[in-house]
Amino acid sequence: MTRYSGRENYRRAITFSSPAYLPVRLGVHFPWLIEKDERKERRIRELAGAFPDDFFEADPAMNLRPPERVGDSHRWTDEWGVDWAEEGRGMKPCSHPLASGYEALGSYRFPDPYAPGRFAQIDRVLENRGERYILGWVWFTLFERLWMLRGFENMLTDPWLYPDEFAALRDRVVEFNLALIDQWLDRGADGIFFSDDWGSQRGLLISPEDWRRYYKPCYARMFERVRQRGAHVWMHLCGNIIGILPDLIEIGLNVLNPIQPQAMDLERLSREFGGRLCFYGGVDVQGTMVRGTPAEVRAEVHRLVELFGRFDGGYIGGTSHTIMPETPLDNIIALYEAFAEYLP
Amino acid sequence: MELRQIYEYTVSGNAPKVKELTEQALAEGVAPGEIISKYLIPAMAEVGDRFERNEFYVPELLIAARAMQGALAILKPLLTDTDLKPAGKVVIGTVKGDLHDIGKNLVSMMLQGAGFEIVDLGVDVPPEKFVDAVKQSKADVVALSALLTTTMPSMKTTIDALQAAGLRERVKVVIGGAPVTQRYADEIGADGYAPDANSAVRRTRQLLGLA
Repeated sequence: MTRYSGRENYRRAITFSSPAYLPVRLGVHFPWLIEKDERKERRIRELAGAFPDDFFEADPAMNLRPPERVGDSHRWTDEWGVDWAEEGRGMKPCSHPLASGYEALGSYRFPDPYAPGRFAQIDRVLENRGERYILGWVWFTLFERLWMLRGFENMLTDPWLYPDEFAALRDRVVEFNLALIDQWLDRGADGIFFSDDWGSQRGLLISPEDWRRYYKPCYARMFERVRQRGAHVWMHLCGNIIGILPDLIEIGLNVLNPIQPQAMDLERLSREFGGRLCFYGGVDVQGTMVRGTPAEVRAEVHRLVELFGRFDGGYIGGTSHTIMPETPLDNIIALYEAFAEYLP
Repeated sequence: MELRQIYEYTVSGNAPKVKELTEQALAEGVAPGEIISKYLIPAMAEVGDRFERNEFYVPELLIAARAMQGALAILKPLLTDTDLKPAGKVVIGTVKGDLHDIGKNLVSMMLQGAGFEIVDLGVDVPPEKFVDAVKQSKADVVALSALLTTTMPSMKTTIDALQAAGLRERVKVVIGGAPVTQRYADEIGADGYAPDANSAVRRTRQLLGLA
């Protein structure tokens, strides 16, 4: 079997040209998990260590105020002026600098995409990138950035209630993102990872027509910037986003993450979209991982590889989101073991 | 003026128009209760139906609710006791440990749109606070929301607290949220479960014998 570098192997998986092995991205945050068992945790670390070191990803986001401990939680302020809290079960934004209205823009300071030091730590890692695939994050890309600034319910209705102000703010965020994309590509990133959760468990948060009207052209601009320079477009979209998936493919999406089986029918995804874009994720953290048996976890891994990986590539192994606190360690062991079957 | 326009502009979420027409209707002597019961409530029912049929999404629902609330702000102070009785009083909140509020807010808006009086306790609400609110407001219904499997048990502790305070027989309890099911509702002794905002209204009306 031909051995490819990580970079080449991911490229082949994404472009349906016969990767040498199944690329896999798994992660587990032990402090989160309810079950504690040193022996099993050691086993998981050992299994994780067997996967090739073929990938590097990073987020160049900056903070105005770094995380500090306040009681049982950590609190910080990001560069957009949004306050965050992490209380042991995931982080959440807890203030919105423009919530009071667009008048607040008068005294608002936008972050500088070229701020000194933004890529300092990343550059140090990249010095030894070797043949790893480099995925550059442009996270909380557009909709999420906008609602973090304005508040969720405000942002859902802004395109109708404040069309001009909304469009101006949206375009400012896009400009910021384009500058981040350029800096990543200048550093030789192989792909850019965008994120916006447009789906709920049942469907889209806004109608597909409105999405096309208010947001699609912005994604088209950002995706085009990436594709122009030969890099791949990855995007994390939670929930059921089938309604806009053909649009995303049309404007250049290469890799879709995280694929929630309880929100989207996997058979349908494979039938209608398999071979047109690469699927990344899919092992059900809302069901099988939490309530299933290790045998069911293994069967799900095999099924995903069969459904999406059969197009001379087209699948990157992973879970349908972060592994949840209630997940039994035995299921995480089964997850790693099942994906390890596809190692080179 | 054509009063039916109040209905139409509420459905399409045109708040300035709804406000203007409501003021005009009042000036022409239409009773506040009539505007609410004949136009606003049916408009919100239509919005809920379109939401359930996936013709409307959350933004349309929020915009319609905003138009309705604008009219209610004018009409409510003018209501007399005999004019229009609320369909019932609902204490609503997201249970202790859970900070999700959008689903709860949508249910709250739709209940308000169906003529219920709402006491919204917000998020991360401890059982004692539900108990106090039921005592003070003499509510007919308690609506509990949870979005996490780890916070669902707080629904049971809230029901237990209502029981311990001797209030359980006086109120109906409805529950909802992504991980919640009818089976879970049965298990913890809730009276009803609803998978979305519109069916929450329907279930609440059924429980109070209004539908």
